[in-house]
Amino acid sequence: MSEDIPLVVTIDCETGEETSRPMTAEELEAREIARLAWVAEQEAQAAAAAEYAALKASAKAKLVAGQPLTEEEAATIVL
Amino acid sequence: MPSPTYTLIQSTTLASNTASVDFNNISQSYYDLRLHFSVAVTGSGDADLPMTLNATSGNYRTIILYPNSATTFTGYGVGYTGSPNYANIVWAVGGNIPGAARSGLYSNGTTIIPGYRNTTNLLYRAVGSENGTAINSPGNWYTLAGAQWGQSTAVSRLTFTLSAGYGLIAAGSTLSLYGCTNS
Repeated sequence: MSEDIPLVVTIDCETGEETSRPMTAEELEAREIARLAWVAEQEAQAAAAAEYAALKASAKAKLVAGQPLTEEEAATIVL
Repeated sequence: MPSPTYTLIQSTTLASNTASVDFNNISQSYYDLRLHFSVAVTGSGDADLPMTLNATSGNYRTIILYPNSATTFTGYGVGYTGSPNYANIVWAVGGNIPGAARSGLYSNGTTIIPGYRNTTNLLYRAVGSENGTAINSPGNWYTLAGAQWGQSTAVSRLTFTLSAGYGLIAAGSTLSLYGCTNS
């Protein structure tokens, strides 16, 4: 149904005419590709943040216990 | 002393949720362009509203600063010495309040494109400041952004397309384009 298709609003600044049309199939495909890339980026960022938090927690626990840290763990606490 | 005069070129308040707003055939009779926006998004994430000039992709450089606590700023793009080639200039919109629902929250802001007719200077500077204080929410958030566009053509078209994943530009959002001259 056309009302479910995202709209594109175009304003001709010379004539003042404003038109609205549904996205074309090509525009929808490009938008979906971009959306999937965005989802993948969000997931990658979340995974990286979780990994960093785990390394930092492990480093803290080892420091408290007097155990040696891995290089990756040390990198989370050394400026 | 110059006395700037702002003339409304065109303004739109969206009647429906919209993916993209495109101002084209912009007059070349002004010195600067200024866009005022009051925009909400239908999605729920941190939203960006990218702007492309003359429907070109690439050769954009953007820096954004935003508060990450009550006392400090953070940002990205700052100090970048490589050759970033973004597809557009990014302004944050949509309430953009960390940890809060953004859907239906309005961000109010302005974007300036000085010397938009310049065809000899390769670096146009589009300066935007954004105040995300939502008119229907106690939350607030804002960013400061600056950008360059490495093209030697006059600007005649501005296109705003909400980044994929953020939903749509919500009905009721308003974008107004002004031309500035000195009188």
